Amino acid sequence: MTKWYIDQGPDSDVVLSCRIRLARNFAEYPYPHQSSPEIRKKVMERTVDAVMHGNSGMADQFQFIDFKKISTIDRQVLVEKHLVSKELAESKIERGAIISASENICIMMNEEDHLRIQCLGAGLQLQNLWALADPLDNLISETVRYAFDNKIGYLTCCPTNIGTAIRASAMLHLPALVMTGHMKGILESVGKLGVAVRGMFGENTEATGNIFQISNQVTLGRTENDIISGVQSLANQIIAQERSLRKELQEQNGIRLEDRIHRAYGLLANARIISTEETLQKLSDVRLGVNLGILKEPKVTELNALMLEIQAGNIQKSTGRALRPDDRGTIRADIVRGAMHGIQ
Amino acid sequence: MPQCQICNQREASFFITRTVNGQKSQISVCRQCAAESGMVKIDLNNLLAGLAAFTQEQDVEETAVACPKCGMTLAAFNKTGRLGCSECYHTFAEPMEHLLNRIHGHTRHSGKRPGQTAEQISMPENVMDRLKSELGDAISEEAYERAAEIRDQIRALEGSGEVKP
Repeated sequence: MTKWYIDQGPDSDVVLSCRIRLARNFAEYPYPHQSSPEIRKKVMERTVDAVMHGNSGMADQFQFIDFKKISTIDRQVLVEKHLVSKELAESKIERGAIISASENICIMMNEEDHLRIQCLGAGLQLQNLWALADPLDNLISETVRYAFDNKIGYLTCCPTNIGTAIRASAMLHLPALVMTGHMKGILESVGKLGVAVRGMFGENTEATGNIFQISNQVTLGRTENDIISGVQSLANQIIAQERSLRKELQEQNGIRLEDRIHRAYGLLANARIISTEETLQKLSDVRLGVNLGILKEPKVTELNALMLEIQAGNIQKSTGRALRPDDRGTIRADIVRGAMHGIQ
Repeated sequence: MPQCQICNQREASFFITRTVNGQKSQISVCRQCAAESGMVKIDLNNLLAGLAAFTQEQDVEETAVACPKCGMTLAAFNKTGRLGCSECYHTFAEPMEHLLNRIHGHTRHSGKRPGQTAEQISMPENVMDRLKSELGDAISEEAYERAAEIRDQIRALEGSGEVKP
């Protein structure tokens, strides 16, 4: 089965992936940063119990990973797959994750909150992900008493997540909006609508390769469905603008656009040493070329796989050892050339 | 839970350390006495805007309110933006309400509850329960205009025949 981070979903010419995340806390314990190691271990044991030994009928498809027992490289690979946050990977306390076999469900434990229930999917399909997250949340609440207040909803470590404690997000590839200088306007206008735009790896990260993450800011006072459809409809509007600008670029500036795309392809097909950032930038042009039919190959799924393979953690995982940046650069160039080889 | 040292009746929810002329003393008080005595005056309006929000810094008197369950103080919260435990929301109820309103533009949850599916939220009985409790809040806060709006919504829902009055 193709993993969601490689697969193509609805609106995949613009949307790479989407995610629903719920923050939940145990009523009786202080939040992870304020808890004792014993309590943090208990949070993990009880969650594993609820999910993997509960009456879900899906117990056997989950795996528990204790972050203290895996290597830095393994943790980095999970970050690069967007399964866990950088914060969870880098924190020093007792923490872990429960991950489904197809890697479309991941529960982070002892990050900022006791639990972060996440469902992930290819393309834009937030409603489907909510339909996965909602029953899983209910399953856990059968054995775990959540910190919940009748007036202000699910209680979270940071007041910005309180209420529904839901974050609906989508990862968008917006090269035409960036190229034509419209991205700044988008950033300003979505801010007013209570939606945040960030880089590829969430909070405090840059938008490399024209990839932006949009997500709701408001979590209190609206229902989960309202929040999800809000993000969905805003994503739809951005998708429509991106598509129409792509068409315009192709019609009015065809030769320049083609030149840019083929140059990016040529660079990737011939580089001998290359950084992650440059690879992602050029892959953005190649992806646009594939979306517009200017390049016949690689396939979008191949590009998705490549975007993961060229990241530092994945390179070191596949070579089986820690590497210096220069060595990673040459291996990265080999991988990229291999993927571009024979195309055209 | 210790008793309030002012009224000697209610449970204390604030543990206040005062420094008067270099002399430290501790007192446990309940929420009501704390508010009436003016001991707890917290301004979180500037919080998250990166401005110094804790207005209790005075030469003569300093007060530090700590959560009885986890020991979190507002000064610490102002630095990190993270609370220590779920009880903190009750300990710092008043400043939190202002803060939530600033962040979310709302102060009342209207999504699912533990064990409830998303579909159940929009069922007429649940909407009615929520509206009735909001009506109670609005009346106790003397927000009569909002109360009237909520009352109209309740009547409309009753009139639709979907729920029994």
